[in-house]
Amino acid sequence: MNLKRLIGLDTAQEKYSYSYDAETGYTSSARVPERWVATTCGYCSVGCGMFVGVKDGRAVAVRGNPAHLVNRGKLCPKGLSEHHTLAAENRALHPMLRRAGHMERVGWDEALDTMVEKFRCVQARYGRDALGIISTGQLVTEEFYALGKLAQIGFGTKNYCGNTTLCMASAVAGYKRTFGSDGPPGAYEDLERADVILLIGANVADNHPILCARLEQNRQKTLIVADPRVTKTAMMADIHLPLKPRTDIALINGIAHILIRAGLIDTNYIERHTTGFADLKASLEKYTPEYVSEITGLAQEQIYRTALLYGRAKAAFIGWTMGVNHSTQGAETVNAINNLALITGQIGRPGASPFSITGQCNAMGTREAGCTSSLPGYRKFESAADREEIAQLWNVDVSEIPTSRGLAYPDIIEAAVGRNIRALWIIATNPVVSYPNFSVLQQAFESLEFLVVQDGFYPTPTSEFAHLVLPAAIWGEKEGTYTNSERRCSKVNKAVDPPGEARPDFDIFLSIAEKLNCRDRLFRGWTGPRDAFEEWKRVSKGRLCDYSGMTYELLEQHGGVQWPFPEGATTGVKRLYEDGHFEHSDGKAKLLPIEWQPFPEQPNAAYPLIFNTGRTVEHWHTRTKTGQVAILDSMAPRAWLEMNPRDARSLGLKPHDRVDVVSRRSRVSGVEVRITEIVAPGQVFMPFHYAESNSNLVTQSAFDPISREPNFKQCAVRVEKTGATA
Amino acid sequence: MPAADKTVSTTRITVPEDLPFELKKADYDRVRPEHAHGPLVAMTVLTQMAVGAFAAIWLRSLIRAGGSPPYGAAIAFAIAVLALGASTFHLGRPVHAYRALRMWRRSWLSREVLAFSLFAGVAFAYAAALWMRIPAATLLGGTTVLFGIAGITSSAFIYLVPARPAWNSKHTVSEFFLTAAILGSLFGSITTIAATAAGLQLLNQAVKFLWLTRSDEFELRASARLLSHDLHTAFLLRFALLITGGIVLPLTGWPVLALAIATAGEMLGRYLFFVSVVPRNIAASFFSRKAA
Repeated sequence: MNLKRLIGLDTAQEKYSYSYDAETGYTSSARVPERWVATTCGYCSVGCGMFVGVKDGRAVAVRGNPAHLVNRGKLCPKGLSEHHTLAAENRALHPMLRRAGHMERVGWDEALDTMVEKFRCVQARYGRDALGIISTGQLVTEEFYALGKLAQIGFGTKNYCGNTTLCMASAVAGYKRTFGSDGPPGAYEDLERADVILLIGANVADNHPILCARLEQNRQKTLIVADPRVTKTAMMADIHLPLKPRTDIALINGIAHILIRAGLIDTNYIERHTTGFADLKASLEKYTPEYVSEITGLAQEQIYRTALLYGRAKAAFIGWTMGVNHSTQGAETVNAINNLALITGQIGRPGASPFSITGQCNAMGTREAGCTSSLPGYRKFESAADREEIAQLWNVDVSEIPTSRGLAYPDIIEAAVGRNIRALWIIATNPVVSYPNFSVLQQAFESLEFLVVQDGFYPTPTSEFAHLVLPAAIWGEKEGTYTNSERRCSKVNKAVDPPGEARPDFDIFLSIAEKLNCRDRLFRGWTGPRDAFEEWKRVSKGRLCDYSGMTYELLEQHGGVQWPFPEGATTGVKRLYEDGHFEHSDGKAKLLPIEWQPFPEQPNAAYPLIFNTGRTVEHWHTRTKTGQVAILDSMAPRAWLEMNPRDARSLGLKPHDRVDVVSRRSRVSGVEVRITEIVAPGQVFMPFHYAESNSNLVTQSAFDPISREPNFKQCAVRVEKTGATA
Repeated sequence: MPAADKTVSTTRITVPEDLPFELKKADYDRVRPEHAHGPLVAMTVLTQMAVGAFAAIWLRSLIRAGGSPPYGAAIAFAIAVLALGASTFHLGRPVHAYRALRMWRRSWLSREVLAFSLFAGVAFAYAAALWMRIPAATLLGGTTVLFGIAGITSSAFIYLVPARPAWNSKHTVSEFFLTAAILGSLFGSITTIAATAAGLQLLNQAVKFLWLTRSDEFELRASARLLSHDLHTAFLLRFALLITGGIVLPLTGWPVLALAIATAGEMLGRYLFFVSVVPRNIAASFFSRKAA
């Protein structure tokens, strides 16, 4: 320390000086930018409009966009510190290739040549489908669209899926089964206009904080939150239903049972717009309040009260997230929710919607344009007409379009274990932390002949297994569009250059196509994301997710537009199915009888506790980004285990003690215990963000047979004091 | 949530009115020792020692009990200078320390700086007068002691703030003056007063600990918990040093060793004073930055 500083003559004035910014007023000089770049937040799917402040080629500040229709100027803690992720120390800077066990820096040319050669070699030896590709919900739609073509036609593998399967696949499958197509039918505005809002397994206060601001605009609402934990969202509720884990189907069926008995259903709507009511009604017979009370642990009065509130509402909204989706019955739970909305006619009207709140910023983009679980524009692999149409649009032979979807994410991993998948390309996701039952994943990775990890960050826990790492640009460094949960497409803009040799994923895909000699065939004349967007507009034209009327300029001007937005449209469509016309061939929605089943791994004497996982507001997914943002990381630097005081007492645990969480599969060691009545006796909760205390060491390989989504939320564990058995 | 009038708060935080009675702060079980403020430990103990020493010198001169050798006052003055010098290391901008004087009308800190500056000035004159055997020395001595008492009073009152409940009591004032009495009388070799003062300090600390333990207030109980758990070795050692240096050694004829050990005891006591206070805060996160 210098003397001037010590005696107080030097007060680091430069560091602490402030200046006037026309937008934010007096603020630290270091945070006053030269220009503000309008863009959309790259974390969750709420899709907040924001500006990134740039000074000397660096992002120095962010602020919410007051004119944006989603967030009206507000941002959550992650959004408010998002610019710090760009300059994080763990950014991937150069392509890295494993040679003799060590990662070495190589040039882009060598990296891509090696990748293409290895992939081609594996495909030549074991068949085209021996290559697996797992992407993300974090890219821009233009990149998803390009990647879909590159995977399916360029590499010719149909085994392409996204980590959206760990997140929204149940909602997608549920919507498809009920309505005939994916696509969330409602809008955020419904949160402001509904008089009853039922949130099931959705902790929006931690996970979609800006939606809480929308909720609070609604003064007339009754907010009902069904969640086994007393989450921050449950604390906001008028009625909290602390149901037993994974009993939501019984609750929803129970509500439907009461409403049918009480005549609080819309028979006219059922008649005109649905099929299958008789079967549904018969299946609901047994879901009497007594039976439902027994399953859910809720009092019968609570079930009656909830049912009557929902049934008598002028406009009732059901929102859900991972509490529903992360389940072996995820898709069916979505169907049960849709059933309830349909029999009461609570869909397609202001405030009335069964609405899945999506996870990642552009999970919707990959669902619509990505070519993973369906062909672009919600077309079906199984439909000859859809395949023909896509082949024509892409100017390829129809025989090149797969006739069924390839393996879903978990099946790609299991195929790697079985050595049917020999090479894997992972893009912008971190399965080592996010995939259930790590030991299976480890076995899969170790069985691969070549693993490519393309990411904005290096090292990541997943890149530790990689043979090749491709450094990618991230949010703030590239252009394109994100589509949020309410089908609003917003513009994403480049504020700064990517660090080192990192390149936008879009450029990487085009370069790979060039190496594959298919760039001209698949991406003729493309130079930037705008070309992909123009083609995607043509591909989506006339579909439910119609983008054909949008332009980049229009998106900039409106701060995001909801699809469908056909050519000539001037405003977006707030809600789908306003006319009661659904996407099944008969134009009707299907009411599907759904049976409640207990979750697969029930607690017993050796593993007496139910293990639940989830998030905290400070962190995003596996913390490759937020772990580097000091202000966020210092608020939640380590994982913790929530345990009820009753269980803690019987185990002799004190707050802040270190414990191991042990399942039949493995153990997570040294987790700090938080003794709280937020969790009920017999249950424990742990956040899933932390590589250092990876909850997915103990979670199980159990997947929804329909959506293939993992059952992250419940498994049986025991808790031991760390070191007690050593 | 502490009441807003406990501090001059500029941020308005509202919590729901219907919070359950048994709701606890997320950081309820994470009470950690506060900052030790090394320069302040040195400054407060040494200024108190210097004031006590001048008081002893002055008293001895009053009763003409043979007086102390003239270098005694010079050493006491050196201690005072050392203490005041140490205190500047606590400031963000030591070079502008004089600015602290400006708020003497309302700030105990300002008054402390003022009183100790005057104390140092007069003490210098007193020490010089004793050295040169100037007759006005007794008057200067009395003035020195008066400013010293004002200084210690100001020091103590700085800590009487609602936001730090464990400090906000008469025990703080007693502790500071008893430190002066123990160390000053040992400095002046007045062993009976030293032993009496040490006994009173022992009582003062014991009563304070009982008060903390039995309080209804979370922050006070948490202070007691720190003393009896995280800091219990230092707490026991503090008592041992006080008994040894303040009572046993002076009464058994080891005055110099007694002064050294008693000074160490008071320094340790002051360290505990700073680190064991639990501030009245709004709830923080469940975590501390460091692993528990």
